[in-house]
Amino acid sequence: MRVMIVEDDPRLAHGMEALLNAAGFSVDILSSGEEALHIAESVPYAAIILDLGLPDLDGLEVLQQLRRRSVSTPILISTARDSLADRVDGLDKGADDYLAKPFHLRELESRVRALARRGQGTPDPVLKVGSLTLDRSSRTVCLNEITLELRRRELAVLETLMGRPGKIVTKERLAAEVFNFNDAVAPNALEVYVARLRRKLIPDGPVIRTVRGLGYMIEVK
Amino acid sequence: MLRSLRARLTGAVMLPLAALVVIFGGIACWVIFKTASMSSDRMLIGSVRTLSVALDAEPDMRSRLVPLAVQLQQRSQPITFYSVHHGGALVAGSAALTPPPDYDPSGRVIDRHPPATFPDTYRKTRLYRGYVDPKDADTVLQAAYLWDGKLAGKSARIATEIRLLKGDRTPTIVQVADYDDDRRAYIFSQCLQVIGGGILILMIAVLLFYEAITWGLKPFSALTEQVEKARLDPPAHFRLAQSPETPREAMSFIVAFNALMARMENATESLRQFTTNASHQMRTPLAIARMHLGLLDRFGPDSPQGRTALQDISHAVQSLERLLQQLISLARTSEQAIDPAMSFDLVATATNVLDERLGHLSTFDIDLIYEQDEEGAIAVKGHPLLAAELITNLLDNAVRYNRPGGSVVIRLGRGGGRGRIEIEDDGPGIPEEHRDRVWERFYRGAAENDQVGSGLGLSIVRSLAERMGASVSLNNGANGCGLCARVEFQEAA
Repeated sequence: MRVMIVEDDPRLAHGMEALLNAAGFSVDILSSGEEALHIAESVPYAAIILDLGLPDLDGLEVLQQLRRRSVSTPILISTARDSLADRVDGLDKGADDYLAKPFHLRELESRVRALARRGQGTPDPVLKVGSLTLDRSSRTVCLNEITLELRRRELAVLETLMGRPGKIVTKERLAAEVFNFNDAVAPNALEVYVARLRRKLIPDGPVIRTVRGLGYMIEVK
Repeated sequence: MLRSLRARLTGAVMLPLAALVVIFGGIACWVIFKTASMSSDRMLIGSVRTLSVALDAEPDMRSRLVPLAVQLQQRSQPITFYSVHHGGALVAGSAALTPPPDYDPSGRVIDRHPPATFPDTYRKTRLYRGYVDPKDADTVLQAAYLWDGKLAGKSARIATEIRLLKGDRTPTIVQVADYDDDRRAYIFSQCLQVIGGGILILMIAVLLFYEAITWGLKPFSALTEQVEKARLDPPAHFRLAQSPETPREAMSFIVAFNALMARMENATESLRQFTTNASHQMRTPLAIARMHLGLLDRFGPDSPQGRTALQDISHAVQSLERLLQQLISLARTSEQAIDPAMSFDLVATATNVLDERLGHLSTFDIDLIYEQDEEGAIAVKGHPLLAAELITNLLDNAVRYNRPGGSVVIRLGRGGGRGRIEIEDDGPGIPEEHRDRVWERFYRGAAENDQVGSGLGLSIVRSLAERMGASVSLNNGANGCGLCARVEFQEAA
């Protein structure tokens, strides 16, 4: 899952990035409102973390513009302004959540995870397909109650597919959710991850099917 | 003294009024005394003459008239005493009423004492030694007069007339007397009534006046009520409201009060703004420190995340330190103990600052150049401590926001009655459209995010300059790039 951080302080942004990477998110950092507006429309982010004190545009303005352009990604406002009026204003202009600086790491993590779940319409933190379960909070995957050892990318691919069981996920979509702009991605990277996953799901896990020319789909029996 | 305005006003009006009542009461009592004394004197004189004329009648008439006169006298109030002496012997009346001590039975002196007279009334009647008919006065030796004597040991007012009756060689002395205490009691009761009336009137006046003031002060108590209500349940912007009944005297108070409220609101608002900004400014470095401390905790100091975390924490702490320093120096600009108009040497102050800051500034890759138009001190008005603070801020800004390998020129000069210092850098400068805003507290330029800045530096510079009566301006650098900050002090006389 991919998250956008709009924050003008590079030190804070990189801290958040390190944190969310460790939590299994792929992260893009943007330091200006204009850029954020451009990119948010084209990338399927699971959540956007938006700082209000941006150098070019006011954060609230960015928020309104995003909603006006019908970007429905959940947005978490993170700001040093924390008066009641600021919070209410932010939420009323279309934000989904509000986090005042300075915040605690685990709170940020949990809130981003919660927003991502809500955005996908899967409120249960545990995704389940047949005998395969994926706990998005603890980042563990179990097949018949035996924990599977998965790499970060493999987990990300599986999470995306299990989020839409029985539905085709296009390669572009899958790539957009798993990789960020800075990842140097080989053309066949996705195939490699899917192949590895398939091996680990044998013998009694659900089957990941390749729909030629379209993408991948995890089967529901 | 008197805390109640109503009591004060009542007192202020009532005390003079009471004095007037006392004066008026005194006059009234004096008039009563005079009138009462005169009318009883008249009565005594009248009585003595009646008796005296009756005695003066022909012997056959006399025997009838005298008892009648005595009887008439005894029936009227107040009851008087009378006596008739022929020579030294009592003929009739009370023995206690003796002739006056200077009475000489053989004497023929006429009017030894001046006869009693009374102020004329509007009707002037010609009198002959007290009688309308001159024949009545023919045999009078001493016309009726008044004296103060004793009657049975008590003081009394006595009227006396002496006649030498026809064919008689010995004078007959007629006297009528009244006790003084009767007269005094009468006067006293009259005066008591007057004084009682005065006190009653005074009391009614106090009561009326007090009520009148209460009524008159009602608009003020309505104002007090407004303030009291606002105290118990403070509204956001309290102002005293006027009503059609508000008197003109209260208007200036309302206007002044509301102006004061507005000023206080402004002050509170700017303080609120300041604390909001200051706390906002502190939160970002705090958020960075907390974030990276959490990362350190999670990944350990040897991980790549841990290593950058350490750097970022130290940077955040530096930011906080600088912010704190700036807040302290901002507080110092308004310190009252400093005289901001003393004379000091700008050159010495500037070189001191350079010496002091050189160690710190040498960590930046910047050339520092010092220039002075002419040798010698530049004496200006201000305060060396405040000026040093100001120069430090400008110098730090010029170095901090410069480009690597850039230079900063500190230039001192004088001219036009002013001593000036210019601090010029060749860094990115500030776009002209933003130059007005840089004076605001906590304003930070777009390019500043990488620097440890508080957004307070230039606002400190401005308030320091204002305090010393100096002017600050920002201009383009000499080569069109960079920024030149110029501070002009008034030259000391």
